[in-house]
Amino acid sequence: MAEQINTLPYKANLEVYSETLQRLAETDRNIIAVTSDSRGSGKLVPFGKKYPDQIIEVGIAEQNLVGVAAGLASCGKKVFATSPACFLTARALEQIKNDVAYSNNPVNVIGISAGVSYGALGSTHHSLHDFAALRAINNITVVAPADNWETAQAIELAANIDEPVYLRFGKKPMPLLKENNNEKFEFGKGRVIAEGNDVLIIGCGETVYPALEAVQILKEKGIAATVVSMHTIKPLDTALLARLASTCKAIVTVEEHSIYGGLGEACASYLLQHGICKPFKIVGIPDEYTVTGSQGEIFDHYGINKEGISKVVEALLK
Amino acid sequence: MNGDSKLVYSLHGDGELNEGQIWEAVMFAAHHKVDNLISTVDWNGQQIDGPTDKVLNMGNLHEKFEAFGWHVLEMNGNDMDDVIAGLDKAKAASGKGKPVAIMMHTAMGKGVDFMEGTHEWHGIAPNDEQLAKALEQLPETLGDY
Amino acid sequence: MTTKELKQKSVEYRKKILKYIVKAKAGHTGGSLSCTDILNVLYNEVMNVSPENFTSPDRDRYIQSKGHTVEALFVVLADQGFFPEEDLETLCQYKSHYIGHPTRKVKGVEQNTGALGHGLPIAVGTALAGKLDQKNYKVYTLMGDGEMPEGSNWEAALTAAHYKLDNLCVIVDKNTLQITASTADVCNTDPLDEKWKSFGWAVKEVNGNDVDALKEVLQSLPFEEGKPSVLIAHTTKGKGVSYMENVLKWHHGVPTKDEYEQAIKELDESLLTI
Repeated sequence: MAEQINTLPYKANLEVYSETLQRLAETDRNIIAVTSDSRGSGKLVPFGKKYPDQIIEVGIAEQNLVGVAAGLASCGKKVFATSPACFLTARALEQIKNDVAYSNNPVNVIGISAGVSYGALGSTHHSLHDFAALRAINNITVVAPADNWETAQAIELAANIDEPVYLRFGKKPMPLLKENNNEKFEFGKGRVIAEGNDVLIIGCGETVYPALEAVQILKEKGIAATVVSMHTIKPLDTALLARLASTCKAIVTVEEHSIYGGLGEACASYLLQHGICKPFKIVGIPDEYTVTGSQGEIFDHYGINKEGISKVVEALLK
Repeated sequence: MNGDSKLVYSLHGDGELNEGQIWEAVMFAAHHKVDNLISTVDWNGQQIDGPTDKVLNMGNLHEKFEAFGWHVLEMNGNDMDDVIAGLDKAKAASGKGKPVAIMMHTAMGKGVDFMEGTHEWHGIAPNDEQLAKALEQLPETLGDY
Repeated sequence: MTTKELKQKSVEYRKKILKYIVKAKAGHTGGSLSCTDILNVLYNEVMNVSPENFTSPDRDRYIQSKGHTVEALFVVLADQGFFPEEDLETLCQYKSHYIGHPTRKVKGVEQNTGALGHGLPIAVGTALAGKLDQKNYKVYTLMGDGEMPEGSNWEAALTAAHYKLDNLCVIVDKNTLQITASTADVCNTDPLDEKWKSFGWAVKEVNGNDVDALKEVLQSLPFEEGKPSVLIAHTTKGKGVSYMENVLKWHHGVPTKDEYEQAIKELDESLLTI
């Protein structure tokens, strides 16, 4: 399966974000991008050229970025507040909580170059806390699309729903997880990418693809795996989780986030509180400032790759 | 608080001055008469997305720091003699009840013609060919260090 | 309204502010009394906003950044007919919508505020939307002088000047006291006018407890074409009640029965001199 997927054309989810926004802006002058000197980083230069009146620059000022976005959204604008996820969800967290979520201003908070996308620029530029921080805030949907299709769908959906959304993605080209057959994308509904009875692997964002690659390795060892792209971390698709968890022998979650407070703990919490107890392991970034390296090197270092995931699965099933 | 006489230096980008946190600290330093602090601003007029006045016009930085209670100096941040003289002036101005700010007029990418005065080179490294071309323009750096 | 009527209104508002603070056994008394005249003039003389047009995209917007003095806002909104005044009997009571900071659950409130340094960025976004949509509405935001050290304000101040938002007016309720001590002692932000000017704003100053002066200056907006306006309103914290004026403990002090009665007596007496 993985081999077939590799042949499909793909690009960075960040590029897809920009393209989708341009497409939406063609017919909707209420689409507004707000940037904090992040027009280039957000691949929004073409958007700004095409729609100069629909891009607002606030300078390197993330708190203001989110507050301004909230004001615009309160006047009916479909706002995409775009800034590196690391700054947006830490420095401007209070603005996300109060001005967006609590005040119910339907801003789309777009965390670009999320997780460890910035690689060797270091921990100031990594966002490994954002799921945890935002999961604990009421009234904001938390989404990490895995591939180009999910990204385009998520952006379009976010533009057209009247509620706060946080979307985060990276800048590495992401292969399509599967060919799409008129599937419907919804927030809060996970996608089953591969099916197998032995182990359930749940990923989100850029970790779903390595999970999918692990399927082949596991298959060779006689282990059949189900892979889910749980693109929405909150609200979690608990119905899908419960159904798949009940029939498998072990569960592994994979995320580009701290092992604390993210997708894995969200799943574990639900399962434990509903009496579904299976061998369970969270793969993610441990509680440390990461090793220096590119995103790929950091992933490899912490076993967020097909080999690492396969090993965790094998150990759980022993 | 500890009564020592050391000076503290900080270096800021002009784009960085968009951040409100900076102004919180600027107000705080003036309020507490932190006069052992010399803050330098690398006023190159460029940030990652373009010229700072296009991205978010910062206006007159000199006036801003003065309005926020600082002693403000200016110098050419790419002229070594001026830098040394400027830092001497700043040291002399320290200890007088006000934090000291130096506005350093600089050119981003200084010394390499194709890098100067543009934001294009904010976060990228030259390739081998560009490096060779750049080093040709910077003879004094070869062999000296 | 005539000057006399406006002044009477202010006294009426102050009495109600105290009444509901006493009833709730909580509230930001001093600051509510300092900004009473500003809210009075805004809602009765300056702004185009009413219960009837509150959902209209063309209405003027008021965003109270110093959210803690919500009692003044609620009393004025009730007077404007946004909700029945008796609703305020439930202020800060279990399950009431009338909490100790502005909330959109209360009709007439534009934004949930209460964390300082949040109102201006939202106001800037609201004013930007007005410019984008070529609307004529104005956006007003009331800030405390104690919240001037918040950096988010200065980020927003830069943006407002950059986008030439002359449909935006900040009013600083400069009562010179904050919860711990005087603003000058906690973190001095003077000279405040120069700070705003250096950030590209048109600045005016006014006696913020003088309804006539407030009316005149607020009807002259924008102070300068192409620039956002800031009005530094010099006010007295605890205004109108002798023992509260400029006394720190009335930041969120609640009067006892005797104190309350004395305050009402003083306010009633002040009506005679108007």
